[in-house]
Amino acid sequence: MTPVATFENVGKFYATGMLGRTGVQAVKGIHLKIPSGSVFGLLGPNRAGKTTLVKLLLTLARPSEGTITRLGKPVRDKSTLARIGYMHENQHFPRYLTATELLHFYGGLTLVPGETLRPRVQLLLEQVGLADRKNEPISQFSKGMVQRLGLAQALLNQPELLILDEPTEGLDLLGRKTLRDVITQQKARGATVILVSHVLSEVEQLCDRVAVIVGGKVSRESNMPDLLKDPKTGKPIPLEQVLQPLYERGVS
Amino acid sequence: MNLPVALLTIVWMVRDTFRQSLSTRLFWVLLGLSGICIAFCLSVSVTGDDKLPLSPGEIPQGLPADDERVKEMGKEGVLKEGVDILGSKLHLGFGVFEITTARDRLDAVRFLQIWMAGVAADTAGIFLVLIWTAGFLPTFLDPNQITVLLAKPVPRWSLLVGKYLGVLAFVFVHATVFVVGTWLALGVKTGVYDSLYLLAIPLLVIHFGIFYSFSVLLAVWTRSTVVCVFGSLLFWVICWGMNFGRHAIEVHDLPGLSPVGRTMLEVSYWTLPKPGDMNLNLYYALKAKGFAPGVKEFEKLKDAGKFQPELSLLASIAFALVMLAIAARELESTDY
Repeated sequence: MTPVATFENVGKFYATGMLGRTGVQAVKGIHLKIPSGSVFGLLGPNRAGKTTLVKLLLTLARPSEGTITRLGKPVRDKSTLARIGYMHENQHFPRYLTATELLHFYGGLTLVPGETLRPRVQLLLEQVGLADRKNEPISQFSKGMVQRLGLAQALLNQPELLILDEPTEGLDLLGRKTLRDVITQQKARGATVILVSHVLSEVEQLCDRVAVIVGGKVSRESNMPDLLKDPKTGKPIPLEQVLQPLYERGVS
Repeated sequence: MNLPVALLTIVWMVRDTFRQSLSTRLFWVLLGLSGICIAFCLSVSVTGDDKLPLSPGEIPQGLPADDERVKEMGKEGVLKEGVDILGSKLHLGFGVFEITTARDRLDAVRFLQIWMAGVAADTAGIFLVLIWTAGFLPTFLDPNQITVLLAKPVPRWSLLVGKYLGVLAFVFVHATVFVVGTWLALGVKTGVYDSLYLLAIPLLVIHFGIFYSFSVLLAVWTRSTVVCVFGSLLFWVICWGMNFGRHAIEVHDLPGLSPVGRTMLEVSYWTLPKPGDMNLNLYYALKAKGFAPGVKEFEKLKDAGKFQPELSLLASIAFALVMLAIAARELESTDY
């Protein structure tokens, strides 16, 4: 099956300073293929380069080296973004909009036709549990409600590829359940989900395959069942126990 | 480039900017200020400029009330000659203040309009709106706010241009409310509907748009409201100084200025926006000469036939387009 996204020898150097000679090498030599129709987890310690990979995939940043494709086309082709949903880890929406206004605004910019958008906005607000607050300004929303709204806006175009960057941030128990349901539903309808998360229980429960990024490189890539097996004994081991030595290697 | 998508984005961004202005109460503050000016105009009346009846085909003649000949002949004598005495009383604040003018009703109203368009709107108004709208772009460009929008299938430049045009549309609405409102109020109270005054609307919007383009560039570079406020105001002052300096040197023909210095001055003049010239354009569009004191150097330049209003305006508009192009290019290449 054609992968929905590929990274070939991708590197990203964030230049700083007046002449741009100093900076941070966020990722280097990344080779990744994200299989279609799967839930793909991106794991790694803080500042490992997970969000950088997401940004490169969405053309929010440009790679310093290597090539990236998205839905079969080079990332510079922005038209493929119409088939992608993205939920940002620390989303700030314009506080003067209501939830309904925001979804119409973002849906319009995702090129969803008006007649499709109207019923879908209502449906999504119900799905994320904001239907009763749909006409309130976002300035009155809690962090968890903003995250729910972020999830709704990522689903406006019924994406083929849904990218969730730390989606559980600020969500309560019910919110997390909604998120899990959404991911399961998206997978069931054939969409691919990229999940960046530190919540290992959810990763373990939802992901089919994961890549562990440490120090800007892919430290390990595997199917979830294989990852949760001790390579020597074949016995199941918890995800935390698998990740800890990988993370520590990166720190040292 | 997908033009329909870009146009759609611009329309969405213009709508969003209006909502933003409503949420910051800026819309209502400006509406309130226009309301005060309109109320002031409703308090104005003009009396005492009754004219002699005209025979068919007769060309009206008049002398200002303070003219020497009026003093010599006396008012009765002048009227007997069939010549009107041009003088009126301008009542402000429902008659609280009274100004005696040597002008007729039309000129008395024009005098007020010039002060309102030239001083209240073209200087104070533009300064205030530049300050108040300076935060729109930095807020919008905050990474936590714009990241999701940049992941949409729309060109980045169209987001920026849409926001810029949104602010311009917002200023256009307020300029229209202010100018048309005061024009109608003065018309209702005095019977004078001088349509020249309406020319102030496009001139005010263009003046604002030229300097706001610089604010947009600062916003893309720094994402700081403070830098946008002070940067654009300082830039306005620098441009005014350059504009005045160039005209003063042109008029007085300073002998000490080297050819290199003169060339540099000319390059700066034609490259940078020219707020003085824009004031002058408004001044002459409203036929303000004789109603409000103009800048001596500018008037001399105009009298010498060396002022090129159309070219000056086009050069300033070209500057704004270049600023927007640089800002769009910068946004296009910025990593978020």
